[in-house]
Amino acid sequence: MVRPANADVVTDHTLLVDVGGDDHHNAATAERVLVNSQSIAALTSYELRIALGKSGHRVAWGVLRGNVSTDILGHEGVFFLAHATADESCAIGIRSYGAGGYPTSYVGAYSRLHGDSYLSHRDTFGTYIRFDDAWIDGSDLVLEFRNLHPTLSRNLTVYGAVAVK
Amino acid sequence: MRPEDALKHPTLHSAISNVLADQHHEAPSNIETSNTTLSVAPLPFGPGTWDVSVPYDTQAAIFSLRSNRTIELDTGKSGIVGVATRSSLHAATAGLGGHGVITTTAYAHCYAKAGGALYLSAKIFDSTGNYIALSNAYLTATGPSTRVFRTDWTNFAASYKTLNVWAELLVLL
Repeated sequence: MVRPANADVVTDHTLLVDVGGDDHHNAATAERVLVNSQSIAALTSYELRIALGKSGHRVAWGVLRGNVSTDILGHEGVFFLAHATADESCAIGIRSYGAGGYPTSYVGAYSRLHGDSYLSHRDTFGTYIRFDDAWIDGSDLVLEFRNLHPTLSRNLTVYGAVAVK
Repeated sequence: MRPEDALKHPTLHSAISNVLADQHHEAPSNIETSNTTLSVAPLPFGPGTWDVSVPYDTQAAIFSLRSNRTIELDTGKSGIVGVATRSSLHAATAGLGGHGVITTTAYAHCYAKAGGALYLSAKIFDSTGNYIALSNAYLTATGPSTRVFRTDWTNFAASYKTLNVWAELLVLL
């Protein structure tokens, strides 16, 4: 690529007009996550795909929360960091139950890079539904869940927000 | 600058040489700040609001808030990590707190405004009760070229409380 003659003077994007694509900035996006009662069959995985609008994103942060109806007074969920490859994702899982949200809370941290089988081993997001993985696939953010119950179909309900860069 | 010149703006930085000034890339990506003086009124008058200036082009912010020990008992500390967007309805947080020994008196929780949680995080900044809670966190424009990371706090006590919190923001442009 030949360096444009004016490259050293172009410093302010507010001056740009009618420039639709400027992908070298890889501008961040923020997306809402809202899934209500997505049924997952027993012992199967479910990929929740969040459309990011374009490819090229390298990392995503997010907080996902299960719904209260499948919880016991407390609130559970994960804070995750997802890369463009599933092998490098990691998560912090948080759960609490009991009166007032404590004292029976626990926290777990997981990393695919260091060989953890699952990002979250607890039954987050409802009984027997576990957050397994998160990664960026093309123009989608993929959030993977698994129904651990051996025989029953379960409903996944999850809320949250993610930011992608 | 003419629009036709703007269209020549390079799209691949690895191929650019001798470009010393590219100011739009130099916007801060990490902001560290604190607030130890914000007095938050008790309900029903709140919430108290604390703004942190961010670049106007900020699309989202990953935030980490931590209480300092002056309002915490023993040696424990509490804090929140979360995601703030430009919508006040799309924030989400995960909170972890502890006072004394974290394994015996820890508490943890996740909240999402999209799911209708009333408060993003309760019982974070006071070890004796749910006095000050993070009610919301979002990005909002305060002028034609200014934007802030806005946090709203609710005080559940009967009297004024002082917010004591450290913040680190990862700003995503």
